[in-house]
Amino acid sequence: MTRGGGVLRVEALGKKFCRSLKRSMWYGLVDLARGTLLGAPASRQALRTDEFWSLRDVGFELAAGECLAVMGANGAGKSTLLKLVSGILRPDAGRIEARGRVGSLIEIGAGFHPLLTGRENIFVNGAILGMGRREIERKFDSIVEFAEIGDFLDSPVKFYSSGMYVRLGFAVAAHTEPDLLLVDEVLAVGDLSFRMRCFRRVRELREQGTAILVVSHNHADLARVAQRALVLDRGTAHFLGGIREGTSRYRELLLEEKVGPAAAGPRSPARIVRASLVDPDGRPRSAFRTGEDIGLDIEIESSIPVKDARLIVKLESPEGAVLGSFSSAWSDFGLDVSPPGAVVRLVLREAPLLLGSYGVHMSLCGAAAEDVLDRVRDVVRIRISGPEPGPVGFGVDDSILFAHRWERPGDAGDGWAP
Amino acid sequence: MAQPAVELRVYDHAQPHDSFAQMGRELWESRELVWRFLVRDISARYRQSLLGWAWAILPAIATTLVFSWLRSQRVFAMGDLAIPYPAYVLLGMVSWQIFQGGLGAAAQSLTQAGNLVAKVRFPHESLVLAAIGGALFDAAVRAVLVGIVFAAYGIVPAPTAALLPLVWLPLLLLVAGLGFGLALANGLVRDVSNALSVALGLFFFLVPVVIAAPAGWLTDLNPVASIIVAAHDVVVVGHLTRPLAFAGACAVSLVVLPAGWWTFRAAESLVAERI
Repeated sequence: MTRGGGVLRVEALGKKFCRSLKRSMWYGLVDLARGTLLGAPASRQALRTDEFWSLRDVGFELAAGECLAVMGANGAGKSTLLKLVSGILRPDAGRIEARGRVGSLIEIGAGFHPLLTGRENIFVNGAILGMGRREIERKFDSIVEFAEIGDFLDSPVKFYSSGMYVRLGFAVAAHTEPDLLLVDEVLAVGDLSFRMRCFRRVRELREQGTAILVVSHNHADLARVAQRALVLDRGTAHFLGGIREGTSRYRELLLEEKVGPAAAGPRSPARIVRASLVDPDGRPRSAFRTGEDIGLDIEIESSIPVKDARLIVKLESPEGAVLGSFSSAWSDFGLDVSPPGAVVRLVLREAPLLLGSYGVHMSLCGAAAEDVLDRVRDVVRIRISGPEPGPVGFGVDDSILFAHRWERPGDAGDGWAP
Repeated sequence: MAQPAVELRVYDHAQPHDSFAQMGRELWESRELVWRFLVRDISARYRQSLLGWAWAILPAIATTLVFSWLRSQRVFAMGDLAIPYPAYVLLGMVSWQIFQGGLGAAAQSLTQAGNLVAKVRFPHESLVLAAIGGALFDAAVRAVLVGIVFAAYGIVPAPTAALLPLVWLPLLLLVAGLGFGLALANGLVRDVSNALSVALGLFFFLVPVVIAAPAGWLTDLNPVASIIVAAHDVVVVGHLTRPLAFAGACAVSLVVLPAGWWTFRAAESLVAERI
C-alpha cells in the first residue's frame, strides 16, 4: 500500500445532468452511440436543452492520511462528486485519478437482505465492498464486536432496530481498510456513543494512512475529522483550504442565500411593511458581531387608527428554534398607530448571538388577544459575522454566548461574587 | 493489508474501451461476489415460505398436468413420442427454465438492486450472473424431478445423457448475453421486463416443450428450440437428430454473449445514473 503519496487527484471535473427524464434517456443513448462509434466524444462541454452542470471545474488533490471535508447546500454537487470519485458516474469533463482500494461509506448496509441473518449479510456486504471470503473471516469477530449486535448475529436483519442495522453496515464498511474512503452523511446516524466510535474509527483509518473524503452538514462533526475543506456552491468550487476557514466560508455562503427581501404580508388595513437593522448610531447595517447592540427599525403602514397596538417579535436560531420573543405590551410600550403608519425601534442590548444568521418574525396585533392584524415571517435576518468559533467549536459553539467565567471554589471566599 | 499491487484508476469523459481480456479478468476477480449474491438470493428466496423448495418445481408440475389434460382432451394433436408425454414435458421444462427463468431474473437484476447500483461501485455483471445462476439452480432442482419421473416410468436415459451440461452450455451463454442486454434495457426503460414476460409467453409455443418440435426452419433457425431438441436427443435418443441446427445455435450464442456483455459494460454507467 502506498503511504504518504497522492491518493486522489481530481482535475477540472465536470458532470452534467438533465432535468427531464425522457431527454436524459435520449442524451444518454446519443452519447453512448457517439462514444462507441467515434471514440472520445469531441464536445461534451456544450449544454443541451434542459441540461445543467451539476459539478463544474472542480479540482483538488488528496494525499494519504489527509481528510477533506466537502461542504455545500443541498444540490451543490457533493454527492455527485462522491459518485464520480467512486466511479459510479462518468465525468463529462476533466479527470479523476484514484490510487488503491476505494472504500465507501455511502450506502450503509448495501446489499443487506432483510430475511438473511446478520452473519450471512456480513459476507454479502463485505463481498460487495470488495473483501474476499478469507479477509472477511479474519475480520469477522472484530466486525461483530464493533457492531455490538450481540445475540442478534443469527437473527434476520429485518428484526434489527434501525440502529443495529446501521451499526452492522458501518462495522463492515469500516473494516475494508481502503486507501481512499468516501463518507457521505452517514456519520449523522446512530446514537451518540456509536457516532463517537465511528469518528474514532475514521480517525484511526486516517492515522493509518487512509485518505478520506467526507460529506456532512454537521460542521462540528467535520471539524473533528477533517483538516481541509472544499466548499461547493451550485456545482463550482467556492473555496478550497483549511477546515476552519472553510466552515466559516460555508456559513457565510448560507447566509447570503437565506437573506432575501421581506415577504409581502397579506393585505390588511394595518401591516408591517419593512424591518431594517441599524447600529447604535441609527445607521443601516447588515452584519453584527457577538455582543454588539442591534437595532431593528420596524415600519408599520396603516389605513386605520389602531389603539393599544401590540408588536411581537420572535427571534429564531439558524437551526430554526425560537430563541426568544419580545412584546411591546409586556414592556408597557404604548403603541397607538394612526394613518399613514409608524416606525418603531427595537433594541437588543449586547446581543449574545454567535456566528450565524438569525431569523426575525413579527406580528402586529390590536388590543384584544384575537385581534391579529398582520403576521410576517423572516421579515429580516440578523447576520452575526464574528468572531469565529475555535477549531472545534467547544465552548463557543451554537447560538447563544452566555456570560460566564471559570473559577476555583474558595479563591474568592466561600461564595461567589456576582 | 490491501491487495498487493496498487491499482490506479482513471476516470474521464472518454468512453471506456476495455478489452475482453480485461473484462474477463475483472469478472474472474468478482467470482466470489457472484457466488455471494447467488447464495443470498437462493437462501432468502424460500425462507419466509411454507412450501419452500417445492416452489422450484410446482410450476413445472402444474404446467405438465394442464398440458397432459389438454392433450388427453385432444385440444392439440401430437405425433408419437419416444417417452410418455409428462416425462417429455418435464424434460423440456428444465431447458425452458434456464432460458425463461434466466432471462426474467436477469432483466430485473439491476433495477431490483436499486440503490446498490446507484451508490456503490462493484462489478454489476455479478448481479446479472447471480440472477441467471438462481434460474440455473431451479433448473437443477427440476432435473432431479425429471430423474424421479423417469425412474417412475421405468425409462432408462441414453448414456449420452451425461453430455447434458455440455448441451446446455450454449443455452447459458445465450441467456447471459441476452440477459446483459435486457438488464441494461430494463434499467433505462421499465417496460422491458413486462414486454419480456409477454414475449416469453408467446415464445413458449415456438419451442418444443409442451408441443413437438415444429419441423423445418422454424426449429432449425431458432437457437433455443435447437438446444431444447438437442437436450431431448442426448437424454432420450442417444445422438443429435439435428446436429447442424445445434451447431448453429452454438455459433449464435458465441456471438450474442460478447455483444451483450460489451454493450453492458459500455452503457452500465447510464443505468447507474438513472436508476
